[in-house]
Amino acid sequence: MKRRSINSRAMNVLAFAVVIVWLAPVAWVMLTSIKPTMLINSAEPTFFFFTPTTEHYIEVFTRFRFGDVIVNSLITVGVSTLIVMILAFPAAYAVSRMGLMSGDFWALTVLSLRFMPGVVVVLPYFKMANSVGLLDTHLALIVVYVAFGLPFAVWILRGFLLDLPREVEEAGRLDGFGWLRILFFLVLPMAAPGIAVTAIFTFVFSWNEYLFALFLTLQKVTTIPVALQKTIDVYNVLWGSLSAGAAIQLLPMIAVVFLLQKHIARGLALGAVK
Amino acid sequence: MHGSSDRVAETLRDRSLKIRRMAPLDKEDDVNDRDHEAALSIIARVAEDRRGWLTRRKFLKATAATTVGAIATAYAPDEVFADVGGKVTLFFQEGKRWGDTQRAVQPLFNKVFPNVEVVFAGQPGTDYFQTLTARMSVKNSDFDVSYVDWGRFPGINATGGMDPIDDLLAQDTAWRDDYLKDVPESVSALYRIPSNGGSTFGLTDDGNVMTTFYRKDVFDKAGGKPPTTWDEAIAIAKQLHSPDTGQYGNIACFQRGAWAGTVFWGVHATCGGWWFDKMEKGGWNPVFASDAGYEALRVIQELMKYAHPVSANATEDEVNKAFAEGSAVYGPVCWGTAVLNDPSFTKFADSIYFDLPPAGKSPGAGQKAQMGGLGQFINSGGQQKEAAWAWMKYFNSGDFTDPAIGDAIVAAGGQPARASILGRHQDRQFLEGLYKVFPHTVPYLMQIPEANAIQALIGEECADFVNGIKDIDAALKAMDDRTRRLMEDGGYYQ
Amino acid sequence: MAAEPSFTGKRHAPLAAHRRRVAYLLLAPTLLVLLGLSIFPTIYSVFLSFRVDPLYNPKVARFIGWRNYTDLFSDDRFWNSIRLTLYWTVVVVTIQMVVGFLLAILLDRKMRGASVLRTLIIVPVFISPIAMGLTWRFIFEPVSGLANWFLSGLGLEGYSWLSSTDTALGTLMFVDCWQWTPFVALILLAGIQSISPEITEAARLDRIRGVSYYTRIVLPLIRPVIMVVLLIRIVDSIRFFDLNFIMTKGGPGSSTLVMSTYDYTFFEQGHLGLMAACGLLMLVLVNLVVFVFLNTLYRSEKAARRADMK
Repeated sequence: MKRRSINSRAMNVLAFAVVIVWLAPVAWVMLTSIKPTMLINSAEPTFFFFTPTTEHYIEVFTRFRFGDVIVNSLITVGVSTLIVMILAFPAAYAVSRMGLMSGDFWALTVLSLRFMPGVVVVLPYFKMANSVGLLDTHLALIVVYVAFGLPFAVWILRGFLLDLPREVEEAGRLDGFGWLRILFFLVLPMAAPGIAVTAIFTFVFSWNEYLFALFLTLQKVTTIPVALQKTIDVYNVLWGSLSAGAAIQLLPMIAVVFLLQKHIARGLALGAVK
Repeated sequence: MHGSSDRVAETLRDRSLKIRRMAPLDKEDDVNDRDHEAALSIIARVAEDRRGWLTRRKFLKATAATTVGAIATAYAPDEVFADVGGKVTLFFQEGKRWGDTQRAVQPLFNKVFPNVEVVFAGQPGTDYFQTLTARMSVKNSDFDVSYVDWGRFPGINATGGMDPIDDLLAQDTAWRDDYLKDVPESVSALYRIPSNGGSTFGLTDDGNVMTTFYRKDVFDKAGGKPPTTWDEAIAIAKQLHSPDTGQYGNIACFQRGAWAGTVFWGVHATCGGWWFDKMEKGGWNPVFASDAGYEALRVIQELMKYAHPVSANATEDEVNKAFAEGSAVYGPVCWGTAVLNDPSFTKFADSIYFDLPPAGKSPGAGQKAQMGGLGQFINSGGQQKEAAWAWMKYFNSGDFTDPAIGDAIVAAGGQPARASILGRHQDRQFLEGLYKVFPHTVPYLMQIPEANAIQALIGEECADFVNGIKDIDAALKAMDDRTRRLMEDGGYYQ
Repeated sequence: MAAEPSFTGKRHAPLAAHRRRVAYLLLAPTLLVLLGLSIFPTIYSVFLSFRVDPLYNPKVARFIGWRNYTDLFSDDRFWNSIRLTLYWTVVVVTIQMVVGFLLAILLDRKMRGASVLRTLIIVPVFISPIAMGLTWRFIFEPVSGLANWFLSGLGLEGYSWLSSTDTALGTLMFVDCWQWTPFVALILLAGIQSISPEITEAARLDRIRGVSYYTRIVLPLIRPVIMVVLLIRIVDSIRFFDLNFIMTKGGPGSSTLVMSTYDYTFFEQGHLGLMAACGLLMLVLVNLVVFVFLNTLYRSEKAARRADMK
């Protein structure tokens, strides 16, 4: 089996190389975030040999108020993701496991609400939020993110639940468990990893949402994508601040994913078991 | 508050010294009297520098933040209005000219109005008009003063959410008269809305022109001057064009929509074109498919042969970046802005200069630049009218109120429309250029609510032409047809 | 659902009816929330689509019947945008699924640092599209961009990437694949890893290795996962907007003007009626594609189940 191990080592190296090349543009963003503006605007690219600066990070936290903005993002996106998961889990169970004759129809209906282009619905949402006095509140954004996150979550969760082994539920029923107990004490633990994956992607899509965040907030509850967009002056993109903001926006996500790494793999794994 | 007219006469003596770079201003037929008068008043006020500590040199070399801070620290107003209170929320798009300038003036304002709290609700530039209009159309009360492109005034005014300010202005005639004298008529007129009885709805302290930008060192070496006709422009573009050395003949922003629309109209106007046959009842017929229109597109087609490759889909930030890194040395019609003279933005800050765009050959052609600029208005849904007016009036003041305001705005990267402020800051080429070009401008849009939509559609057709997707006849015909449809919907032909 | 097991846990009779009641009870909150939040925007959009309703001049708003629709149908750019959108979707989704699967195979190995790689590879999905889109535009800048800088270092001629009608769409496709292939790869990877060790072992004993292991064993087993990813990617490719808006905004000319960007221009210029009409047509298109896709999917799923039961 000697040949195979060499092959495997070459493949390992290749895997590392591919990931490094793939992430080079992101590295370039990180590099830009610590470069002085003059170097960013020069015709020749600079990779090494410059004095790094923290001015862009300072700018991002002072002028673009990233301290407040991160908190706003965490609140709106965090709460909406939680609500989405609470609603989506039973719904996905219903369309996947409960023998609804028209389960597929409902699943499709739920999904199709996500198809509208954002620009078409942003003004109606703006008017609705205004008429109930919710403009510039966390709640308005939370409601919208629930509306847009739910279909995606139901759809992905449905995939996971469809493939969970049914024997456990059967056993529960034989033991006289009611539906709620089966759902929350038997299915939920089995599906936990799948729920984690769904939650992460729901979180990410809201985390990077721009259009609704722009219209429904003024300055008190502005979120990260809107704050990032503010670094783009019509005549002059503030590359340093933009890159610094992007780095800050990315770090919490990476930390979360790294911590949940095992869950992701296992979660998606369960979804695929036949 | 103190007048400065008494100082004008005594500073006249210095003018040759302070405005060394400024070309002599000859009165020409197409320059109206008010502008000429305003221009002369700049020259009269040029030498005014109340603060000896702030030498021109220091002003240019120090970073914006340092200078703005120094101005605020040194500021000691003659009068304090402690009886005005409240909270004014400012709705504006973030950027040097609108965000940084307001932030720079706020500490000065608060020394005069210590009891007014200023809240900055800066918005991204993208979709700024849509967010603002959406808020105006529901009579949103969350902001008091907004800062918006004058081209948007007629459209936003049509939502009914702007307060007329003629009465407020009449309360302080001395201030008003100074404003009208100091801001060129061609600028201040843009904030009176024809479709709303000609009432004044905004004040401005921001002027901008779409004009020729060039690298003086490169032109000097090539033995050229900024061209005065498009033939010369094409010739010099050809001469400067050497892609092998990373230098391109010319540059312009041809991204589909508004950007390409401004470039087309910029060239179109210098070829003697206009949007409509007559801007009154019985007229409003679009006339893009005319001699001027054909000449404009042909000029653009020629220039594109020697264009910086980014031009085909560029926005103005890409054009500015090309100037900053040195690959662009000539832009016959660009918005550019003061950032090109900012030493922290580009190492060519000292050698980028400005002039009028070249002229075409069709009837009515001439060297004309497009007038841009932004102004402030009071949101009628806002709750803090007194504080709002206090801020608006103070921010838009010239030397008549206090030169420190203008200094702070210029230091922060602003580009004033006030003759008095421009006059004292001629060291920055752009402010000099701005001043020089003001009397030779055409509005960058017509003053009707439909204007931005029309600008975008001519930009779409122009961009399709530039990129070889449409031919010249089809592009011009589409401009006319689509404009006519919009004007029909607006009820202009009834 | 042919394989649905019957169960006997409850004494009270019509079990199916009870199940359905519970199912609707569980589904109800989600449906109510979605209907409540989407009914007004949808009705409002239909209403708008029959009107001239300029954002910049509400005074002239009025009903105009089907004119917005006929205007769209007679606009070359509209048909061009549909063509570009479909072309875009087919190319981009195909590349992402194929490369995603290869990437998944590459990452499907036990080695030190594998979990770090799997974490890092998902970064393109997480990073802000605004910042990344602008950075890509910066990288593909024809004169000073990194892409041409590298090419000239290799002695090759550079391109005008995003500012030439020939290359703009391809460059956008490249960036979209860069961003979304890892998403596909990660989910497929999880599918591959979930295959039970017994099957892998059996395959090894049968001397099924290398390419044939992945094509004969893995692909059929991870089919459900592939379908979920495929559907998500198809829908999102038709709605593709962010990167296009930031990098080319439909240009140069109209060479990258896909449906969502085309629709956006109406929003930007304040033509709310046309915007709504175009948005609804886009909704119809997405639904059509998804309907066709799901129909084929279910039919083959049922066939597969039937095969399983034999």
